[in-house]
Amino acid sequence: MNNQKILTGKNIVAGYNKKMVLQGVSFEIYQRETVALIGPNGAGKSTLIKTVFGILKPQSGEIFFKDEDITGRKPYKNSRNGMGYFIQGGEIFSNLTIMENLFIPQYIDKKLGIEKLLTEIFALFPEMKKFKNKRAGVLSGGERQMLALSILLMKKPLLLLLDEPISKLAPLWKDKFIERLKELIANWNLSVIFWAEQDIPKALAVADRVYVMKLGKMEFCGTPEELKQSKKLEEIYLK
Amino acid sequence: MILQVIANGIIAGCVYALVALGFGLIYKTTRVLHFAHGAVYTASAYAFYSLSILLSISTVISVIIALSVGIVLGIAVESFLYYPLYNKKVPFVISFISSMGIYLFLINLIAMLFGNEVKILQPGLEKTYQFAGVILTRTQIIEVIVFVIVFFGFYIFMKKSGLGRLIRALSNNPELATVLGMNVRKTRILVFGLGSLLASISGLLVALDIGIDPNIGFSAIFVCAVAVIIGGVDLFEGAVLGAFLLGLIQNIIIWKLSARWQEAITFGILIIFLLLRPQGILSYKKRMEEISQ
Repeated sequence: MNNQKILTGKNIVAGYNKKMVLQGVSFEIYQRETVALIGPNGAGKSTLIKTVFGILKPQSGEIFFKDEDITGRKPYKNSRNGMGYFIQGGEIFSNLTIMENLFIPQYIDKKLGIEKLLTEIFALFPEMKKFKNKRAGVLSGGERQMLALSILLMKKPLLLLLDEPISKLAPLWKDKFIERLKELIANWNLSVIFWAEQDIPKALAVADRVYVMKLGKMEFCGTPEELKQSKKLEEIYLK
Repeated sequence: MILQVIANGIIAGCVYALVALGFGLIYKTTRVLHFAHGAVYTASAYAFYSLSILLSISTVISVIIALSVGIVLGIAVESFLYYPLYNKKVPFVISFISSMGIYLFLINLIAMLFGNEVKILQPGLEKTYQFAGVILTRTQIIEVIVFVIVFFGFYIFMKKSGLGRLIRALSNNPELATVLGMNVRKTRILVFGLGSLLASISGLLVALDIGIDPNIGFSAIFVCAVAVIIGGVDLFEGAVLGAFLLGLIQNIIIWKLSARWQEAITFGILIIFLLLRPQGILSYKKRMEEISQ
């Protein structure tokens, strides 16, 4: 792992209307690193991801992506710049066929070369190939999440922001999703930040590092082993 | 006689279908109930009348300019009214009322400039053709041909081209479209331009067929809104189906009862659909997860 930073947040204060959920959050993500963001309900994990992607404007603080200041930049620009944001629940275009779903990023940005990517995606998610001409709305919950992730991958992102990708899935699909994610991390040149709520063990099994949030503040940062040894989890979840 | 009624119904359906396609496209993609669509339809018909009859410019050039007037007007309403409102995230009802306001303003402007009386673009009797006991005028035949060409062009554009797929993606899931980096503003302009083109084509056809007055857009937009709802909002083919159904029913009413009953029955059909099949005739079979969204 090289030590170049890809995403940095400094003292971010952000939230909805007048209620500030994030109260001075700082973090650093390095290239080719997988970082889990965990914490109890209402900690501000989802808010942080939305703020990084530009859906919410921070009241103060700075966000850097690839050494560029992107504080307050619009989501579509961040998207074109190499960020992929997985919306909570896994959004897809349910009225379009699976093939059309996968091609939408290409229509949006013509510079993306698609043929090779498509082969890679089909290798990673064989079920997408099987159903490629079906309307995406007929997919099951697990397949939906796979498609949602595949659409993002068609943009060839440098950074994936995953907002609760597995917590609503059936156990079998959870394992499948994690397995594909591992494969993806091993073979693609990308950084992943994702958060899990009910599934802290699964998230920790994949992550290189963990951030733990509580009530809008970062409470812990370290490797999964350090987290287990520190007893921080019990402290945060039980208090 | 029944054949003639069906033929008339189909021809009325062709004209309604073009307006309804545009109206449905705009509604589905932008969630704007675009009442001013009726003004676009009327304005391009008047533009064609001014150029072709008042200024005696050649038909082809008049058609091109009149259609452009419709497109520009539709895009202008989007850029100066709906888009600023969309950016402020106002409730649906506000864009609806502003659309009504713009419609009334434009129609009154047209009435001020041209007067309220009916203008006939093709005076005298038209040449007619007879097929199997059905009598059709030359304009009516043009209406059918234009509809077929435009509808298939539109269908292929929406299903096969990248831009058409982007429009369908935006209408299906605006949140995801933005997240993937779509420039929503550009796509909306494209949608309004395309929708207005369809309304303008229909406006010109009606002007040629039965003449124009400032209020032709009003009944057209009502019929088309109903057509979109009863045909089904999910698929744009639904609007066409709804338009043909209403065209046929209206002509049967004219034949059996009287033209006065047309609107009452159109809205009666709307109420029946809203009660019994609110998703319209055509809709996708949906999973429970999709319906709850």
